[in-house]
Amino acid sequence: MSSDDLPGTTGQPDQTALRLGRKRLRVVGLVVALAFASIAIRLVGFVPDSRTAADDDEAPPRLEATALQTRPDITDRHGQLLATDLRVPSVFADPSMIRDLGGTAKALAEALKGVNADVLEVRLRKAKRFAWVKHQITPAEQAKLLQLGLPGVDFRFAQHRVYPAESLASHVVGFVGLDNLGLAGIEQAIDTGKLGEAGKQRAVTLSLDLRVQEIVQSELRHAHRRFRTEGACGLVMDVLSGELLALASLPELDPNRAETATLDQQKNRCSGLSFELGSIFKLLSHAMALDSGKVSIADQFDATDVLRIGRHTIRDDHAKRKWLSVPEIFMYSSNIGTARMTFAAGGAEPFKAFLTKLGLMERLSFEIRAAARPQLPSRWPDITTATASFGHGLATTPLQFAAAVASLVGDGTRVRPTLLRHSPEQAKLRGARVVSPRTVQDLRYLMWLVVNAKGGTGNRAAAEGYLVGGKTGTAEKVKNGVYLRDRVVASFVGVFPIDKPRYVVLVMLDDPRGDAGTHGFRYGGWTAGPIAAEIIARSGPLLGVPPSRLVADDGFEQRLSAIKGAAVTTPRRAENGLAPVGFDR
Amino acid sequence: MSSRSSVVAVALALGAAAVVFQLKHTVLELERELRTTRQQIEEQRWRQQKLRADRAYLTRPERIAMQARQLGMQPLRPARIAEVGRIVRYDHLELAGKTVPFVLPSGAAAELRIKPIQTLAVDTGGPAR
Repeated sequence: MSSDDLPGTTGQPDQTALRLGRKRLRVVGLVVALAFASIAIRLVGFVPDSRTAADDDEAPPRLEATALQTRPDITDRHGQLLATDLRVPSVFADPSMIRDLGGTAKALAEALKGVNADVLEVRLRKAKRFAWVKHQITPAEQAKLLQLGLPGVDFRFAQHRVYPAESLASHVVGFVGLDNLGLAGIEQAIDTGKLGEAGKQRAVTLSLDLRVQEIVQSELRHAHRRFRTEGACGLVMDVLSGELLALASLPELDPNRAETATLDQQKNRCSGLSFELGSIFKLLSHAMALDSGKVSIADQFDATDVLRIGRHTIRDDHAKRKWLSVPEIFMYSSNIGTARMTFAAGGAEPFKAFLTKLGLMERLSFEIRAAARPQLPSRWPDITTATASFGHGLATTPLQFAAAVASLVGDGTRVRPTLLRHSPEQAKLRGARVVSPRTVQDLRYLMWLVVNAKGGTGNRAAAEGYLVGGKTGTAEKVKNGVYLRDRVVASFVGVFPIDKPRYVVLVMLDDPRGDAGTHGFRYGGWTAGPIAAEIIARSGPLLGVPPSRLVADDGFEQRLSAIKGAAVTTPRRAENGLAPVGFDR
Repeated sequence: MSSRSSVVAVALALGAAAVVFQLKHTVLELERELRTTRQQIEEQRWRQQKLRADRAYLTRPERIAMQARQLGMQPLRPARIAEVGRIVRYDHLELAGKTVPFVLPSGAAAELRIKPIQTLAVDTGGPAR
């Protein structure tokens, strides 16, 4: 029997079965094609790749942040590093991978300073997969641990801010908190955006010169030890651009250990506190009077007796009891003469307007946030005007005062202090005019007298090799609105070279005590003046200021001799230096 | 579908798969190399940062001043600075000590002395601090 004879067949192939077979073949082909397609897709990698660097055996530990994402470095004007970020390892352990917890804890305690083996073992036994061993280890400790090769012990890296200069310029640079955010100084200014574009660069370049900063801080430390001061401020400022080459405040702090700093150490006595500065303020009242045109340098004022205003009496510390010329009033620091001059120039209103022009009636706009507001009288009766003329009854920051002096003796245009290095274009910009060129010359001459004329209160501020002009000040400290007779703020503001000023130097000592060398005196001329002189002598060569030649003060000598009635003489000078002979520190 | 075209199709599929696999492997290797290189660059940048901080610490002015004192050096004082143009030349000094005889037109004998233009006594001592 053949297939042809099978029931239901007609002897021809079954078309339906063929069609079904072909359909099935197509389905299988499609499935196989899909399978190949999925393999192809997987190979090309359209599926997200879940591999990470941690899966690679050779990859180094994962970093918390890249070196390009750190805070900007802070440098001085010559590129000397003041603050930078470092990647510092911390040690952790995974107890699940440690067989002998006690032995491992002991080995770690031997390798790491400050780690107690028993305490660590308890911590490891409590933890499941992770336990800190020690934060911020040194490279030497890291090397020891790598040599030990303990299983289950590894490192995690984090950024840590370091300050290589330690306490140098610490009040300017500031410090950061545990989260690496700025808490004070330039560090805080970077985060608040106060530095503008300068804060967004890879490095913030300050105007400071670290060498001059070290000189100022070392001299202030010397003064602090010698005169047992409560604190001190010292600064050096460019007289035309306002750039600060140094700004130092004592007591100092180390930003590497900012968490241990006391409140007193954190205070910035140059810009963060305001003081009644005393007689150095006479520079401003003299400038106002001379610039008003109502008082000339040849005028004389009655200082034969005390000055009575209402029930108040104004006296001179070193009373001369005679008529004094304007140069003598300044040189001998006469309160009576200064008050009379201020009234002759118009009194309260012109004086207030002059202080406003110099920016002393408002808070200083400065890169560092800790700028104190000046403390000013709310009303200005005559007695207030008189006392304000010689620096009592109103308080300002030493920095603001130094900027005012720079404005007066530079080229007579307003100077704004800054901690950022100026570009050559910025250094050429000048502010609004505050006094005439004639007044500038007069003030330089008056300041020269204080230091170089016989009997001037600033004779001890004469610096070796440089012609210096300045003004001394001694003001009683105020506590709870009461003047303390036995505690003073002693200060000296100097300009050098006074014939062609380049820099202003200000030294302020908070509550100095006299010693045998000062014959017990605490006056600014005995304490702050010599400190400023030493700062000038040491920093002048570094700043590229050539020593003054003897001919430089010929002009001042001629002017002195031309003033009628001025009973002022100058001592004979040494040939090789400008320091008057016979004065010691 | 003919058997020949099926064979060709399968062969093409296998060949394409092999090529893609090889490409993928190469790319993965390059990615790994790039990652490693980037991490090495990071490591070196951090190392460089540390060296800069070390150098800043070692060259800070306080330390330099201390080491200078240990070496017996003194800070530069203004009295030690002089202008080059004001320093008298040795040959001028020698001439100043000599006289040059000559004869005037009248026949009389005379002597010339030469005085240095610049004179500066450079003090090698300097005041004690």
